[in-house]
Amino acid sequence: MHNSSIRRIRGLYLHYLYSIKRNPARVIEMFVWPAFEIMLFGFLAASGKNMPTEAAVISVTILTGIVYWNCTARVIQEAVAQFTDDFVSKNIQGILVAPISIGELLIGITAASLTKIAISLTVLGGVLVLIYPSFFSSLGAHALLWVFQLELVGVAFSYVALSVVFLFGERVSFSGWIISTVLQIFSLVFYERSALPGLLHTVSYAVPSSYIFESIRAYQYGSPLVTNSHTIALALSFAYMMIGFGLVTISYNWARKIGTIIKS
Amino acid sequence: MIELININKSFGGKRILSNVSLSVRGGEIVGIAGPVGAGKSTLLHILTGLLEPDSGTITLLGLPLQSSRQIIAKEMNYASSSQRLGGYASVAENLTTYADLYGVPHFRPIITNLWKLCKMPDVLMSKKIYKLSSGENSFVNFTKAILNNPRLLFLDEITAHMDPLLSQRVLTVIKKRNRKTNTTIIISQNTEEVRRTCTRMIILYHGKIVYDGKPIQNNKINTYYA
Repeated sequence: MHNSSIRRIRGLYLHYLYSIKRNPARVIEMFVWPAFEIMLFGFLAASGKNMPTEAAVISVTILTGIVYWNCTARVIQEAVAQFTDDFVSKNIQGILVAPISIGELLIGITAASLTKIAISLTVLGGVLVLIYPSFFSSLGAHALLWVFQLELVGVAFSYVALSVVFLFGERVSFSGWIISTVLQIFSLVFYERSALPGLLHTVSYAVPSSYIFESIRAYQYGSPLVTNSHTIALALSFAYMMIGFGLVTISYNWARKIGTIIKS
Repeated sequence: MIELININKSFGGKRILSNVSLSVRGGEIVGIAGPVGAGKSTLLHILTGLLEPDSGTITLLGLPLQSSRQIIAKEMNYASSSQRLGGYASVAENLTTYADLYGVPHFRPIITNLWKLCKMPDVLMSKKIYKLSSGENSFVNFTKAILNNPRLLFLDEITAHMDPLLSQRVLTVIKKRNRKTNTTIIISQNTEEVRRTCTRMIILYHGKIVYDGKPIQNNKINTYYA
């Protein structure tokens, strides 16, 4: 990669990092609400020892799902939130007039999102260790692999969400929430694949995060790590990333035709 | 420097620009005037590449804009008074990120010089964008626009919210920048400002160029709006 390209990516990265700095609404969204959620379900899981076995398993499953789903959902939501901010302020015009490519823009947004998510997850991890210390020790080093893979899924689908923002501007600031919520249904965060009926069941095979959550649950219940599932998830994530990149490029060119960028 | 041939643009069936052709040489400061809805901003957005025309050819710095946007963009910049940079970051942080985007290694002397000329206080640098007044915000946008010392500078109502003194200083900077290698296009509702600053005036009316020549007085401009 050329030096000037790296510098442009750094500029975009810093710009999107600054978007959360001193912004109380975004800090609450990124850290405070997830922390409350983790506390709530962390206490539920911690009290599992006083529950019947099945209820204890369900409470741990819910906590695991919530913790790991954050890795995917937050990446999508954060990418959309910071990008929509630029549409609201019309700063997007300044950014797109600059000599950046769509690839550089996406790398900048992704790097900033991942940095913020890393900070957020560290905070949430700290909260979890205080409430339910055995959570991480039961998962071991595999936890990092799952976090990485789920973040990759988040990155891929954040590109799809960004392409929607390019087409419709700030009016679709909710697209991150919608895409992550729909994705959650097919990701098998809290239930097995067999729980999904008919077409939903078939669609779930095309969702990379479904393989990861199945693998996490299987490992939690004592099965060895299924590397095959992770390879499929990785391949699907890269495929969606390519599709997402294509969609962003198409919608950017379309936005220049219909004027979304200038009407924002 | 700028060559537009038969540019057309419509939105929702409404024609905004109609067969606009324009040639601008190096060293010119072109003021575009016209009533609201005449197509001034649309023309500027097409020049910056933010908007694609329905038909027509755009050549900037001898290169086709459609296929060479990234190369041209290094030599170009744009500012509008309605734009706000990153709201929760400071002015200095925003300018630093834009210096990165344009690959400007030593941008501090450029800013210091400009701010001295315009008598702007240094304390503004640490102010957050959302705390700036409209006039200060326009000035910061202008600072961003000349950060890379662009050969093509496009300004949309940049002095609209500035006080008369600051506005005058900014226009003086624009005039001083005027060299054979630099071209500036200014959109302004303030025709007196256009008359005093620009070397050439274009009047747009209903998406068509109805006047192209030396800057003219207000009372003469009105005759072109009929």
